[in-house]
Amino acid sequence: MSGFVFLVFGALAVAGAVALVVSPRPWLGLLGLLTCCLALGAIFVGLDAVFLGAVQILVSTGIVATLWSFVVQLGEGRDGRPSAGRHPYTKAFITLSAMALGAVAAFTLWSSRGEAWLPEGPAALPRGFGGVERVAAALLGNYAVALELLGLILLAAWVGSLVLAQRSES
Amino acid sequence: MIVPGALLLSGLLFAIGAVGALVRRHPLVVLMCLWLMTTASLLALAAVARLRADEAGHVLGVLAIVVAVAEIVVGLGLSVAVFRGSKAPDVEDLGRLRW
Repeated sequence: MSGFVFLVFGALAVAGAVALVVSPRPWLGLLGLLTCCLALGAIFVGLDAVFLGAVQILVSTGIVATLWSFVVQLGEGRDGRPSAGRHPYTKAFITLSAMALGAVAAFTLWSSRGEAWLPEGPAALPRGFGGVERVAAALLGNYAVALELLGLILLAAWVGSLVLAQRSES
Repeated sequence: MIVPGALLLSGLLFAIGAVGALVRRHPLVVLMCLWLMTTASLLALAAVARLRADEAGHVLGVLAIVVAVAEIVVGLGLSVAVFRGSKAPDVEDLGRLRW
């Protein structure tokens, strides 16, 4: 991924994140978060993390967005008291975020000239780096125990959400 | 070319998410800001994995996404259970765990 494309998606991600923080209605914030997650998924692909980017896009825009769409409807138009209007420091926050994004852009352009404080890493990556096959092999090989523990965590979260839902209905 | 910029962008997004989680008072917006912080940390993981040409960062990222989804599911369940029927959901009203 070239530096210019990275900056375009980075600007989209920052704009979505700022929209999430400053928008008074949760629905607008949700749209900002989706924009941010989509842009970050593209950046993941640019960083040769193809599988991670696909998971990020699928999870963020699929499962979580659908889940949040249902729940946000419960509270749509009923934002908390201090969030109902614009926060007094909204303009300062947006300005500061834009300046920070400009700093990131300047640093990226500067580092593209080969003067960065951090090396870029090896130019030639192993074949299939970041793809499904290699990540799956690592998950089911060296990290199999972590994967099993993750299943337990998901099971606990599932049971916990069921208990919470039943308690809220009663 | 983009690894240092990605690390800086990760820090910027994490800071924006932290500000939102601290300033906003709608429980769902706070949860979304927490998700933003998690995603920003994933970006740093992917950048470091590219820097070291090591896929352990990708594996850790996938595991972190699943843990974050579990956390968000429980958080959403709590939010719906606590704020169902309230006219103005506000995390300031959560006082059950205070002592």
